[in-house]
Amino acid sequence: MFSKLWADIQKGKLASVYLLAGLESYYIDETIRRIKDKLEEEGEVESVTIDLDEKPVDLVIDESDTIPFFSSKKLIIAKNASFLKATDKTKEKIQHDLTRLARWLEFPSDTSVTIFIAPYEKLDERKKVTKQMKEHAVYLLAETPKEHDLAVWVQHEVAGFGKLIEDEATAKLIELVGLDMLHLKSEVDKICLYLGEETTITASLVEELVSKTLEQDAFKMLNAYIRHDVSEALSIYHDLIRQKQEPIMLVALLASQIRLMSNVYYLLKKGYHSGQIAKQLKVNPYRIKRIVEDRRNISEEALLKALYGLSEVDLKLKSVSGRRERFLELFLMKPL
Amino acid sequence: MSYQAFYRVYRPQSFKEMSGQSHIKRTLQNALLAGKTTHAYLFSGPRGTGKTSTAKIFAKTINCEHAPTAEPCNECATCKSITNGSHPDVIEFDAASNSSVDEIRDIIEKVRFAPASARYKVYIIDEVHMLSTSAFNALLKTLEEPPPHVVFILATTEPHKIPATIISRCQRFDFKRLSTTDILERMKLVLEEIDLPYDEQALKVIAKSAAGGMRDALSMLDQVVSFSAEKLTLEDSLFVTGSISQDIFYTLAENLAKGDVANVLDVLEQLMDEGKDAVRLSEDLITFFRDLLLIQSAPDLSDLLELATTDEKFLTLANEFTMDTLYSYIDVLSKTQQEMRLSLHAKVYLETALLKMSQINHKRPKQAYVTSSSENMDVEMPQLVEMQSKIAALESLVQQLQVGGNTVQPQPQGSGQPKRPRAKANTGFNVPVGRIQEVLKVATKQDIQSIKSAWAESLNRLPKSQSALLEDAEPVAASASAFVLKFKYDIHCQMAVENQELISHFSQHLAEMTGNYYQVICVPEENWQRIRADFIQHHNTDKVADKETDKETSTGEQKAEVVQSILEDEQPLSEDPLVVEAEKLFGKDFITIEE
Repeated sequence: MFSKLWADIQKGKLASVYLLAGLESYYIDETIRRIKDKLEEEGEVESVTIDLDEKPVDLVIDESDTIPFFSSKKLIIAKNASFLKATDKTKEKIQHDLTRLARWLEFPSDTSVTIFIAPYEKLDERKKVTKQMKEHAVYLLAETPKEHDLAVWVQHEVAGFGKLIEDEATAKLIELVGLDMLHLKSEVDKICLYLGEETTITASLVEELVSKTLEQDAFKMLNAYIRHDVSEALSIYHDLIRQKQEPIMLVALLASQIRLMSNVYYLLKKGYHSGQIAKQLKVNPYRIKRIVEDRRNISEEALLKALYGLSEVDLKLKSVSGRRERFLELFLMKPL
Repeated sequence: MSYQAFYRVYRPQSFKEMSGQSHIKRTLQNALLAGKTTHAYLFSGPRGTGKTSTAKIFAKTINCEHAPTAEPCNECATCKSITNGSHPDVIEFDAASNSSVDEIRDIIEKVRFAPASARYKVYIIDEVHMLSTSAFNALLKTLEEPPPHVVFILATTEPHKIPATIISRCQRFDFKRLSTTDILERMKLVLEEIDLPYDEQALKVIAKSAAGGMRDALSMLDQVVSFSAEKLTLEDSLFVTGSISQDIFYTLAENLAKGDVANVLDVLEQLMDEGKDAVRLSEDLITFFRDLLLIQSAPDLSDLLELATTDEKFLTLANEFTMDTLYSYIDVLSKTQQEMRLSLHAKVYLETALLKMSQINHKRPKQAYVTSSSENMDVEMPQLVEMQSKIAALESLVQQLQVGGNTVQPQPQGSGQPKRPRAKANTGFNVPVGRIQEVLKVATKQDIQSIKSAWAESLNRLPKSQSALLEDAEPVAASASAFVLKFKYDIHCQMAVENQELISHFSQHLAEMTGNYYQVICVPEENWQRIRADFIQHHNTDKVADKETDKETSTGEQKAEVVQSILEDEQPLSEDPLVVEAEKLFGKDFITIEE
């Protein structure tokens, strides 16, 4: 989809109107960048950005119909085309003249490239304006690729830097960062910069360089606790406390993870495999995979015991005064 | 010039001078050299780990007149003016005190303008998590399409408070805590520069209590230096860092371990005389015992110790207590702490708590009825064993019964037939004795259990009028394909049998629940008792008979044939019942089967 569009852009086949929809901002940003780059080959480009949440669509049309002064083509980016969306809960402050837009769409100006951006999951296909838009504009939906494709994409990006990435490192990267392509891209950039002369991205490098979210740290702490690695658990805990994390929140996070684990183990016993479990519980499949892998480390009884212990810590945090970070710490020190 | 604190004087001015954070330095330097900097960075990490310093060095390097370079020269006009904070294109913005939209808008409006004298406009936004939601949105707009000549550096201690939309637009760097050696090195450098002799040990104490924050370490060093006269000594640093109290807690704990109550109370008195607050003291005691716990459970984490150290004496002290004792100490103390808050006589509570604690400790060595859980286990052990043996006995009993029920099989054919007419006469209801026998023959424990467990639910699914009929009924035996349903009264049994709809519905429900389709065979209780008694009796006589002559065997064969023929249309017979019976009597090893 996008690769074809990009190839067309590269060849200089530019449409007058584009409609880019979807939540994956990486594709949208990248498309805009490529169009801009192409236009800039012929000298400086006049470009205008209009936020349709604040300005009416008339402005876009007027702007597009105006012949550019200095360059042969003009770039107009119209953000937040919310009139294409199904449910419009935000009270429309701006009145968009959609009939005029429809008329204009049939004969768009050929001295400008107009890009409408609809960063929403779905467009309302029943709306007349959506249909017309799709008919006359080059329409593309930016969707987050599936995990496997994402891994391929990561490898492709890394190759773009002239580096290699180990499969294990790719998996680790996606696990740590999640499915957000923009974020993945920035982490890949960062790691490649770090590498300098070296050529291979290893899993340990990913572990070292990628920023971790609170959840990952909390889960790591829990895993250490389950492995009876008190030192590891405590040092992560203190790092979190130093980041001014609220102990109550940590307790809740730990409890929710333990709950998930016990759910997963129950479903495993019923014969579900991890893909089905992820679907059933609506959780990131990577998380389930990890839990399934670690299943041997802890018995279900111990899980329930830990859950009970956490509930006691929670009660103490909410009722007993004194140093708040103590209670969870003592829990972590207590052998399971 | 007025006095400047150490941490300001010795703020690093180049990447080389910076302690730790090697991965961040390397990445940034590579980016600077290759000219591949992005337009937004997010620096996060605990205080005193070098976020703002890195931001400033980065601003200098990118704008240095010798750029592209990996280090700022610190000599050109640009570097100098950035260092003293007067460069017009490097804007430092404290989000903590300017958190509203208007203030951030002011700045962002100027983003559009090209830099005045440097190549890049660098915005350093400190404590960025303090911005209001609308301020974040204003910032996001700019981050989405930044002009090419701008670099934003956001620094924060609490990255989780920053909206994900902002984070995903930034290249994020996590600053890690500095190691004690890094801090030590830096402090030595400072002291050598001001030419003050020092005690190595003293620096270690400071480094430890700084817990990975360079600024904390340097301001503490500052304090100690102004406190000490000619030489930096251990005592001075102990005093300033407040580590002096560890000895007195040590004495207290030692006396507790020895059970020397008088001395414990003496120490407490002494502490109170020094003007310590009882509530605070109990908090400290909790901390101290927590430290001992920490020494026991995670001895390598000496950084986290607050009141104890990893000296030999603390190690031995820690080993004098069991973990459970320490936990119960902490429990007692935290309860006491609660009580103290509501009372004017805090000291009395603390004394009571200490007395309580000394008793906990006393009981331990006696190894009798004690609080420690491991000993409880011991006490329970004999009972446990007894229980276990009882359970085992019961289990074997159940098994025997089960086997008894199962092995009744070869018998029934012979005796069942004469019984049938009798049953008919008695009830006016045709009891399918033969089919019941078949079921019994291949009855399994699993089947009856799965039916029983699905029973209530299946009953619920039936309409009320139908389920009422089955209210008093009970499944008593089951094979893989059918089960015997016992009714309390003949009349109910008859009604149920005649009601084909009920039977078929019910078995369907059961099939849904158990995953196996069972035929229903109804029998009144009276008849069931008789049939069952017959089975058992015949089973026993059969045993005796089997032992005798081949005549018996031939009838046995006949029986088996009959059985076979009856069963054929329903299910294949898994094993020859005769062989099974013989195996039961003589054991598998002694039997050879000849057809």
